[in-house]
Amino acid sequence: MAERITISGSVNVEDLINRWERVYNVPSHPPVWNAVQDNIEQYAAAYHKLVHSPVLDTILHTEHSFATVIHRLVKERDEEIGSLASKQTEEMSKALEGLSLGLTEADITAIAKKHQEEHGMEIASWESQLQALRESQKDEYRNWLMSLLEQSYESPLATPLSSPVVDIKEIPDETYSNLNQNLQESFTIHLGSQMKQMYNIRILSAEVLDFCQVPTNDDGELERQPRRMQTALGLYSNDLSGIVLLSDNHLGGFSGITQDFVRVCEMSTELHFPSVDDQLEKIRGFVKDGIEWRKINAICDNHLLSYSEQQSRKSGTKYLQVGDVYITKHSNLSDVHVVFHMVADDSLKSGEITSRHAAILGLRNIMKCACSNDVTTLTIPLLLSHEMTPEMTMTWCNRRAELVYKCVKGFMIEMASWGGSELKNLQFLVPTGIHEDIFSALVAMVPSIFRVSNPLVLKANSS
Amino acid sequence: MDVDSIRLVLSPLALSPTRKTAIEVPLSTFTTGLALETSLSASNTIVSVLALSSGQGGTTEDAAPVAMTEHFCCLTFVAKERCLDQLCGSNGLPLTPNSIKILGRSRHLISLDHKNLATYIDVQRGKHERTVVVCERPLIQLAKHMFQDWIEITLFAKEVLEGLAYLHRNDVVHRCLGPDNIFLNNNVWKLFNFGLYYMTGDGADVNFPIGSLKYMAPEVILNSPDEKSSSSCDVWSFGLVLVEVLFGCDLWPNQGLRQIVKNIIGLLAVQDVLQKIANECGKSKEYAKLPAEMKQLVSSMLKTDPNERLPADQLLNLEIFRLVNFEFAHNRKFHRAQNRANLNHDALVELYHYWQLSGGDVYSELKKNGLIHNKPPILSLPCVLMLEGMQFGDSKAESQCLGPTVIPLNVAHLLARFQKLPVSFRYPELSSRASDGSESSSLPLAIKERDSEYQFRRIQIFKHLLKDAERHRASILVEASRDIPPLLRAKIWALILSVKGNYQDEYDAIDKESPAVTDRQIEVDIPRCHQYNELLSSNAGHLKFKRILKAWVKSHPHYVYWQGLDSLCAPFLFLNFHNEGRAYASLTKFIDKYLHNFFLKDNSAVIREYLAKLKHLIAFLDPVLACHLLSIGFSPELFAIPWFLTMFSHVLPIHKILYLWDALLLRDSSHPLFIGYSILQQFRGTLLKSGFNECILLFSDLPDIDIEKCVQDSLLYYSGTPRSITYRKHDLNEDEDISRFGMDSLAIPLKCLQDEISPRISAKELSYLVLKPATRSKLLVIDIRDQSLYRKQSLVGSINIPFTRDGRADGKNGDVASSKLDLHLLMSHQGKLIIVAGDDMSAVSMVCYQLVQSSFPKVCCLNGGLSSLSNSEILR
Repeated sequence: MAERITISGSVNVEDLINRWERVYNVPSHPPVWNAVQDNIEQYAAAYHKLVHSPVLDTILHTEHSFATVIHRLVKERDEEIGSLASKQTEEMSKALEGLSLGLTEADITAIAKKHQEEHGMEIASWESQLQALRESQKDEYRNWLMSLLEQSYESPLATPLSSPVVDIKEIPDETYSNLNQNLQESFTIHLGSQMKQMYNIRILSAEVLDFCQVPTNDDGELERQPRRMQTALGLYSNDLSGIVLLSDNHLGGFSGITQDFVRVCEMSTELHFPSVDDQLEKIRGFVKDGIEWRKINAICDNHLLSYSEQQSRKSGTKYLQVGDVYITKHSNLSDVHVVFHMVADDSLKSGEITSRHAAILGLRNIMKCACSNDVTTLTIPLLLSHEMTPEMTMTWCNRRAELVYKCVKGFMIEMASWGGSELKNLQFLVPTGIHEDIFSALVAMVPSIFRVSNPLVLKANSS
Repeated sequence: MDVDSIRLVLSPLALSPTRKTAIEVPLSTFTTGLALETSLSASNTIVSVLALSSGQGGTTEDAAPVAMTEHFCCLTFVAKERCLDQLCGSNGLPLTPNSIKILGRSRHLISLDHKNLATYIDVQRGKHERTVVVCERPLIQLAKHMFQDWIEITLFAKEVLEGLAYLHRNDVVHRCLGPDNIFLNNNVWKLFNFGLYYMTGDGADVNFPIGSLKYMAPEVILNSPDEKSSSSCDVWSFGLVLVEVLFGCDLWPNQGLRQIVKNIIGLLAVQDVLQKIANECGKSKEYAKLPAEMKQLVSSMLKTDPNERLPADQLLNLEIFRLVNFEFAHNRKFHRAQNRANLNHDALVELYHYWQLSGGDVYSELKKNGLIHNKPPILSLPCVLMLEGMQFGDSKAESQCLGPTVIPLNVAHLLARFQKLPVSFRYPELSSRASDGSESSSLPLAIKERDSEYQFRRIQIFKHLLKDAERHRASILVEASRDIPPLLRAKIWALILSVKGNYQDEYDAIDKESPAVTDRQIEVDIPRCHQYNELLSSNAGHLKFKRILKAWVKSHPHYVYWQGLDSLCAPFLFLNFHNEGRAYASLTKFIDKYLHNFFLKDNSAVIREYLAKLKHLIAFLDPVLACHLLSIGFSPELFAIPWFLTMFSHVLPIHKILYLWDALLLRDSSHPLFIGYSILQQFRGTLLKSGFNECILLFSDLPDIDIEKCVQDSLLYYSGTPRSITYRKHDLNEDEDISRFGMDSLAIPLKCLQDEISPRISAKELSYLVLKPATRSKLLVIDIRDQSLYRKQSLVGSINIPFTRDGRADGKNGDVASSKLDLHLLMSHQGKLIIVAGDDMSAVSMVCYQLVQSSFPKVCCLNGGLSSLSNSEILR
């Protein structure tokens, strides 16, 4: 030690200082809450308080009315644009007929250009109209909520308060016929040998977007759903609900399920978080960071990802790859708050994938994230596919389901020691259109892989 | 001159010349938590706190109310979260989260007990890697205290060094020693937060740096920030603190991190650090005035080379302390009135226990004070999860910081409640022992364990009894049979198991380190043993586990390590986590008593006998179930081996094992059979409906059982069954009942035991039962010998149903025919203890079989036949 002191007395003082500075200058003191964050949290607290008070119904009603307005407008837009398109097609065909009557190609091009402009104008005008409406709804809603909060302070006996929406129409009886989830089965299972931890497992066949979409009734109007209440109550709670959506790496480009999803989100105003477009935009930024990080960082000693896998990822594209996940959060969907978009590709169609496949590891990341962020209800596509394709035979499905069940079980056991919140409800989703026999085979597999709990029944008169 | 026995009392108030009373309080009152103070002594036990705050004694003139009601406080921080790629170890098992590691280490800190340390009382682990530390409340910060003269400063140095020396003896490095971690509590200097560095694995498990840069020793600065510091760095830190106190100045005020690091490195080139600092602070004059002894002390602390720096315990031998001690002893000026003292270690733990029971919750206190920031989780979700486990776009800044705030926890309400309790609760020795009849004693255990007043009363009773455990052994057993307060369970268990006082020496003498053949198996088993328990799954827990198991294997060469020993060890380790010696001693005693010879290399005879006895017991108590199990071939070999080999600790979670063993420990080694039977009874309905496969499935993973009912049932069955029914040849058999009931004669060959359906009762016990009027009417002896023999001589009150083997083939058909007749005769006796007696044991056994088949409970046979009764007074 003595030698060391004499040596280093002269050397590297700057280095030393830098080292200590790095350690001591990490935000080691309580972070300064900036105004924006504070505001968001205040709003969250206000909302959470209000939905857990008698005004819940009024709030839901207001939200519903807002959504209805948007929904109508969207419908109108779609109709208008549709009619414009048909009008233009007509015009164009007429013009093409007129080609022989002296119209030049330049004229046609001009017409086409004009059409395009018209179309663009139309969309833009609708979009700005919608945008304006959304903005005003958001503001109005926010102000209204805050006034509600103040009123609730003044008169704790919260009588139903008038909502800012004037035209409260009678809501038709809630017929809950829309999700015909005939194919579903629930289990209570436990993990652990001495200390038994209970979980609910449900396996069901449904469209993945059914968990997001607020259903419409026969007239094409949005329905009021009891499930929305559950979702509203849980929004700022420690029991979030999440779903895994398999998507491509284009972050909601122009096709695929992600785009459908984006459309579903736009059916009503996102009153709490940035709109889905804004969220995706922000994510694109983080993706860049992530790719950058991937390029820079040395391949870590990681027994989960093989060297070659990491190597290929490193040299890969500037896009996300299979197993990478981006996350959006929502307040206006029917059942879920958090959507885990996991990038998937055609490799998942193979019947040969193993527990080392990136998508499985992606699931693990999702479960870890769910666990450390209080997502306690999670829906996972059991077959890692949102639709039935011809190659998904009985054997294929059995094999895939077994893999996913077993891996998920393993992750659940791991999770128990992660010290986050425990996953309480796990739903396995299979595509609609699955054959009933396959479905019952998949159901039959649950008790053989998970331990179905065996409740102790004590009789009052037992000796 | 025993200076240590004098409490150092120095405060500004005390030094004022007007007050010159002196009470000497021996140190022993601080260390013996069991000492029950009279109301006049310093208030270092809870009972005396109650006495004081009710104004019964002591002078409370200048008692700050805060100090009376706030004895402990809590602080919190968040451990580093493990990266995703580090979740699994090479063995495929999940790695321990950092917060659990911290929890495991913290038990060592909680066991530390020194008057100059702010006691650690509890460390809890919350969701998302949060750790909450509860410790003794610091009162007056060093900076707020005005020293009168350098003698007082010397006494201050002495106390702090004593605390440091104790820490270093216990392998704890403070590392963040500075003026903000030294406090004056009721005239005693205390080091605060001394375990942060230790419990966080030298800072490795948290994201924030530990220690105040200014007070860091040069060698710490020269090393990289995450290199482990040795104990000598604390001496430097305290040296600097002392210099600041002596000169009354603040060294390097308002200087940035860079400058401070430079300053410290600059000191390396200096010969006399003390002088240099004095000059820097412009205190050369004060420096010149310092006594030489003081200079010597400070300079030996501020040696830049850690090897030249004296360790804390050697510093205490310096000249200056001898001088001060002398002065202190001979000058009464320094002995000051002392009306309040700090609660001692055990009292703090006890008070905290009550506080928790009465609804105290550190989390809600922390939340109330805004220390746990309750951000809705949806607002802190990340945006992108890369496959490698990296997250982007989350806004979790919280985990980076150490909350410096300390939240005091108020016990005023609790104390006020205890005040209202009858005085006899506080002083159980004053009241007559018979006092009982509290309505709560009939409530379920789970409720009683959460009732602070009930626990207070029980704990006072046990504390009183434990003071002289040997003399009060019988009373303790009686009290323990009512219930055992969880706070004292470890101690009480050890007492019930007759653990000797010198267990620690014995444990220390065992070689626990050298490799042995069983090491591999032990290492495989430990990470699978009761790992839902945070303590047992911590690294510290694993190490202790391994040492105890190795110690047991080493010191029992005639036994081997069977899987299951780990489960047996778990409850003892859990209870005695900071007292390995006692855990080991309790385990050893437990195995000796309840699992005699179970750990032989060939234990098949022992286990077979045990299982045969379970089978007998089922037939004896529940013939219907026995017949059903027999018919489907579901024998105890298929499910009960792990039950008995681990005394149920393999199949139950720890909190249930504790209840079960509370009852088990008070009874002899036959009790587990009744527990096994009670468990079966809880599934009776299911078992009767099920076939072999369902039964196997049911027990392959034991469903939840109602443990309190199980315990109560087992006691009921236990008391209703003759002792010799459950006699085992391979038992330790040191019970006095053995000779009393003549069970020695019951050493029956295993084959017989397995073939017979009903158990045998010893002749001696039968005589005993017959002679006792209370039991005589509840038994029926069936004499199956020939009528002629019966007439000649028979048992008093026995009836004769001769058993005839007709034909040379198996006599079964004939038997059935004859027994039908018998049954009518016997119906009226159903429910009585039926003893089948005869000279031919195979015939006796056949009759028993028929009776069991016909659902007669409590059937047994007389061992040795009637001939064994000759010369007995019960024959006629």
